[in-house]
Amino acid sequence: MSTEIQEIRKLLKMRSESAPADEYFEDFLAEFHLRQRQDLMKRSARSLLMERVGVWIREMGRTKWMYGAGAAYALLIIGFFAWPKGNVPKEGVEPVSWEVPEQKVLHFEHDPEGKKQDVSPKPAEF
Amino acid sequence: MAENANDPDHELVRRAQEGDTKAFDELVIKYSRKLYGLVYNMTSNKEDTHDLLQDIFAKAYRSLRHFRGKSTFYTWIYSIATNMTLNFLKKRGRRKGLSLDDEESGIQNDTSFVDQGHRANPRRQSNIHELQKKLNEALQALSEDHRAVVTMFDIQGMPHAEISKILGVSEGTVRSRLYYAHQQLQGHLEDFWKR
Repeated sequence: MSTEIQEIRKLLKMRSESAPADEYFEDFLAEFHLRQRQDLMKRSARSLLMERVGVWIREMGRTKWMYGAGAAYALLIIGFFAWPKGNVPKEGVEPVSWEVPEQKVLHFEHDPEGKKQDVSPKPAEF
Repeated sequence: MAENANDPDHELVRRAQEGDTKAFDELVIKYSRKLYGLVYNMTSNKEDTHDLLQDIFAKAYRSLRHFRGKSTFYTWIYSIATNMTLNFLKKRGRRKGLSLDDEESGIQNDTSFVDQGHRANPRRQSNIHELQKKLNEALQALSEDHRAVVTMFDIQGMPHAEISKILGVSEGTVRSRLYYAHQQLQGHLEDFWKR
């Protein structure tokens, strides 16, 4: 190992002796306790809510089945109306008509001079 | 429940798992200094170190019931600390480089990084301080994985076998990372040596 690397390792080793004062770690522990209490309160609030919901459902007795059925029925109705239907046309789009439009048919008579003459009835005759 | 009776912290861990918060406090007091050193040398920032250390012990406290004692408690919490610090650094690396805050609270301005044996010699002290600054720059230039092995081996004096267990790599990988990191550090400080 080169002397430079040995020197580098010595310098790195010096860093292990460096640390904050003891007061820092006492304050650190106090802050950790505060954080533990806050975490506990958050978890307590959540678990308390779940527990209360559970108790409420249990205390309902047989009526809970009615509430459950009612909620399921309401969801079905909402789902039925909210679900997109395939046959509903989009707004602004005209449905395709199945009628065949009348086509103007051109009638030509054979002209001795070779010119074709349009003898289709005039519009007024329709 | 902790199974490893050879673990020096076996009794404290058992009590903490049963809900004894004072037992966990003793573990915090016992290992916070060592873990502070790990995180600080990896992040080079005091504020980040403080926040990370709080997160590390909070995670250890929440996960303690899952600790089965297959390793010592120290190895277990050290793994948590290393993984959280590496994840933090990878996220930080994706954001941006050095900020003004880092300049002020970084390790290069830490007056405790002074050779205690040369306090009487201000010139030598100043050289050491400058060298430590340069060394810190060189350390920060390493990848997170290389910086981790240097911190654990060179700074904290951990054996290769333990480092490999904590990082989940082979001992050969630990040695090769160390070799590469030392070469990089030497290259970075080459200009300084030439003065």
